[in-house]
Amino acid sequence: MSGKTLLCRCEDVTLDEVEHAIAKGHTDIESVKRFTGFATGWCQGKQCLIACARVIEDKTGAFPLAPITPRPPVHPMPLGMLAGLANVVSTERVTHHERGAVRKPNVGNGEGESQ
Amino acid sequence: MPTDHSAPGALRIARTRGTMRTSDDMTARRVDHRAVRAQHPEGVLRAVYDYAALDSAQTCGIRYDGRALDARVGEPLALSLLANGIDTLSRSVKFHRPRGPMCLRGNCEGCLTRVDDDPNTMACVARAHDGREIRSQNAFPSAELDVLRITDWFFPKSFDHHHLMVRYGPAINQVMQSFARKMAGLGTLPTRASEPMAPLAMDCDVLVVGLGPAGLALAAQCAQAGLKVVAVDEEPDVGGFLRDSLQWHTHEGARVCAPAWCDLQLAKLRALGVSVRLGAAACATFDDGTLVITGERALWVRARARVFANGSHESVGNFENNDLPGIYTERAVARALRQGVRVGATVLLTGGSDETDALALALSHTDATVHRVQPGETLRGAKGMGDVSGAVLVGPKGERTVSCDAIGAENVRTPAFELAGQAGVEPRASLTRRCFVAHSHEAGRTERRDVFVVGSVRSEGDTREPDWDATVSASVIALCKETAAQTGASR
Amino acid sequence: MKKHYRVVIIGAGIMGLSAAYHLARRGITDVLVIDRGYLCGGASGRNGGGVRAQFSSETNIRLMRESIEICRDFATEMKINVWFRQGGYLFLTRSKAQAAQLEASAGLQKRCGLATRLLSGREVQSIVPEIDTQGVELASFNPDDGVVFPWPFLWGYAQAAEALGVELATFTEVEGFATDGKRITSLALARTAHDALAAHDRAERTSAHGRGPQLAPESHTERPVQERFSVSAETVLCCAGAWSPNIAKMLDISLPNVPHRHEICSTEPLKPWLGPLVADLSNGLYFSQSARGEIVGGVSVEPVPHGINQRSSVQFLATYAQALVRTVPSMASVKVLRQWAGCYDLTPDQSPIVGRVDGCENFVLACGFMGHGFMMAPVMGRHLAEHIATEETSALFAQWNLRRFAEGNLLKSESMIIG
Repeated sequence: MSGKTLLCRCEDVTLDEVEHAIAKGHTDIESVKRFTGFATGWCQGKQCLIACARVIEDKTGAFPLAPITPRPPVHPMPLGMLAGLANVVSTERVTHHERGAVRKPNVGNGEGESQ
Repeated sequence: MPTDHSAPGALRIARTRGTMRTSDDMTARRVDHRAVRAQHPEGVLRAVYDYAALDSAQTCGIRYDGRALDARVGEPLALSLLANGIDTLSRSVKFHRPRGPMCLRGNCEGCLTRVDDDPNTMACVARAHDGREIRSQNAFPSAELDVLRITDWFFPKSFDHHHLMVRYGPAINQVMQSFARKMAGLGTLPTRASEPMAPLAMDCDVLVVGLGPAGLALAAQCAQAGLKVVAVDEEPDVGGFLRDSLQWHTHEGARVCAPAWCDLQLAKLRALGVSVRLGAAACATFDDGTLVITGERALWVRARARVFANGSHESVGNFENNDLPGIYTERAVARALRQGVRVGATVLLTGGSDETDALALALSHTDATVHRVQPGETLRGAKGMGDVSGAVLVGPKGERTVSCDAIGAENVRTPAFELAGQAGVEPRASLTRRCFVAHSHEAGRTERRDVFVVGSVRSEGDTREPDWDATVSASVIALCKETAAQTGASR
Repeated sequence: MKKHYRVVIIGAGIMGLSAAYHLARRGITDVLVIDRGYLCGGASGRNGGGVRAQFSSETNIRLMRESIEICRDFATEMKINVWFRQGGYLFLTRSKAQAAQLEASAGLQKRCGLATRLLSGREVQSIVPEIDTQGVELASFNPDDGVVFPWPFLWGYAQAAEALGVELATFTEVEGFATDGKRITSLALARTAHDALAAHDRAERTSAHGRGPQLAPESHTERPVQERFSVSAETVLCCAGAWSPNIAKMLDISLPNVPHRHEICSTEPLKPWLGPLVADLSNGLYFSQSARGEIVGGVSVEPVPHGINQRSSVQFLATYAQALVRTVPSMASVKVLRQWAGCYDLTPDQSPIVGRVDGCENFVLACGFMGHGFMMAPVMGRHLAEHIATEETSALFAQWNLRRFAEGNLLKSESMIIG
């Protein structure tokens, strides 16, 4: 049979493409990521990281000692929900006492909210 | 709209490729749990499906690409669509290969659709209610039949976008680039501005991320010690993989089915005063807090200790055509069935665990034909031009082809080290398991004093030992008390 | 690898690779380019891909006009797609003072031959209807500015330079220099395993400034050094971006430039709707649509302490989301897929530091590019190669030399800086 084996479904990166990148000399996992684009789509590597790391091991004989840098976020986040965050995060760590005073309107203790 | 269960075998209908399924086939996708229970009066399947209690589910009307469909109120839209025989929801970004649900747990891109005004919404996460409007994406003219599929055939192995048309001069290169821009992207910009609720800051002693068995145990231990615990899970229910398990468990000496066990643990957490947030995905961890996104708002959680118990990712593994609609993780097949949807009439299961056995039995009670792999056999590839029509298995006796309209592939589980990694816990390779794990020391400790990892996200170790949860919670509790003493009052 | 090279270039970002390529084009192929990580690991792999000629200083405008020409032909010249798309740059101002400055800059740009035009808020909407222009005082638009996909520039330069005989050694770090008092005699190098944690990423995975007790000292494995060796060179070119002060320090040279973290985030890919890169001079917000359809952008965040730090922050995310949703309200339900950080290389007068260093005659700098290094590298590489090959100092190199700081001849600052 002949068909594509998709290592990264989000960016349509095939097994063939990853093998080609390794053959071109992109043998470390960060370089393979950049050259093929795997792990840069919707799932950010949840599905494909291991698939690609295992192909690197198969082709180079060594499983990568570290994965690609895990960057935020793990799940996609709507910008609109983040837009008000400036009011609840601060650049400095404030003391417990100050925090209560500064952020009263937005601070909840998690109780009584819809579960 | 659960259907009456007709004569066995009457609903087995061969699927037509590239077109909508017949209405009989659509009906066949909805499973009548009463029939399963009737065939399995004493067993765990009876308990699981009694517990699912779908008999009284309300129906509602949704629309898919302008077509009116029936759905059950509150079920994931992906299941509503599957129940209506629709498993191809979009086309992939480069090759325009068909895409459909795969994990049914909000981890893959398979079920991305436009829901109401929101592009790229996971149909396995969004829930059905009256009037929901779902549209397929990235398909011309439709997800079922897309003329740009020629890209897939034109580039039979891979698509080298780096060197595409660089040899024909600037003019042709420019034409290629403008075409590529028009084709790029999934979904279109929303037409309206949504106005979500303002973010909420939460302070607590312990944040527990992930409420599988490890997270449930730890949250309970910490709450019993008097700590203020916030516990979140991205799923609408607790339990992690146990939620979809078809096995017995023990709760206070009594035998209960796995999903019931999960909810008993949830009740216990709530009774202990743990603030439990479900459908709340921890999305990002920073030095000073953790960002959690619920269906309606962002939560900014600051905790003295953060415990990552967020388990594993799942995929179907590498085989030819592993991306076709109709290929699911084994767990997704179980999950759909628990919620009253059979993913196919002829299902190939490639796993070999107790769960696979139970799932095969449950599927057979729904009148599905179930194929299993023989010892030593592996899945070499799936067949099908649109969705799955068969599979090729290779074993000691050679190759054989199986006709099927769905594959439940053995779960490839790999630790979800990313969140702990963002918090500063070094991810390391586990050479024996060929995966990456959040590196931890004894008792779930990591190189960051305030971060702990438990369960399958961490390196192999103490979670298999007795009382592991007490050991971890002891160090979490000690840290919270220590920092509370330094900064004054408890949060 | 050889013992001696005509030129050793430190840093295989776009600046170093462009210089190496242009040296080789001039016949100087005895060149070694080293980088402590993989290609695209530093700022060249972390920037937003903007390429523009709209600046407030004539030097920048003229250089960038040339750079845009190079970007336009890069794909077919170098045989690799860089997805250069001239959708223009749309600058927004929200105060009378900034509007006056924008007007002056646009006048200068027109005199330099750019097609820049000034726009009212309403005219802005004719270019990007989705923008809420409330509060916009004045805008400027140059249709020839554009965006690229940064990574292939590096692969293109690297491949072409290697084909001409240049050697490239990634995962190779400078550990020190030997000098005879006047010039560098050799460089001490260390080659590290490339499957371990890459050097650039250590700065991303470690907490900023250690953050006290949160981070245990034994954290984060050091990369195993596989081999130590030294090479000599007639000329050493430092293209290490924000790491340049650290390199110069090994030679007891104190540079005035400082690293400054800038963060970027990228959304889910959408069908094309945004033509230009939009930049708001009032808050440093900028965003454009990539070749894949993602909205990629950043914003100024205050205060960010100087120093190498590539960690992501929630403060950035909050500031960016707020600024972007205010500017394009329909983006509220668009989702963020990825966030990352890189380091700008800031100088006291917002102009680069380029050319030979007094007191170390074979050490040449190319740093301090203020976050514009990527877009300037295609043209700067050629100037650097010319400078090294001819040993002549052009007016540009005289103007941008390090000695201006010692002499107190700081340049007039560049006002059109974003992010």
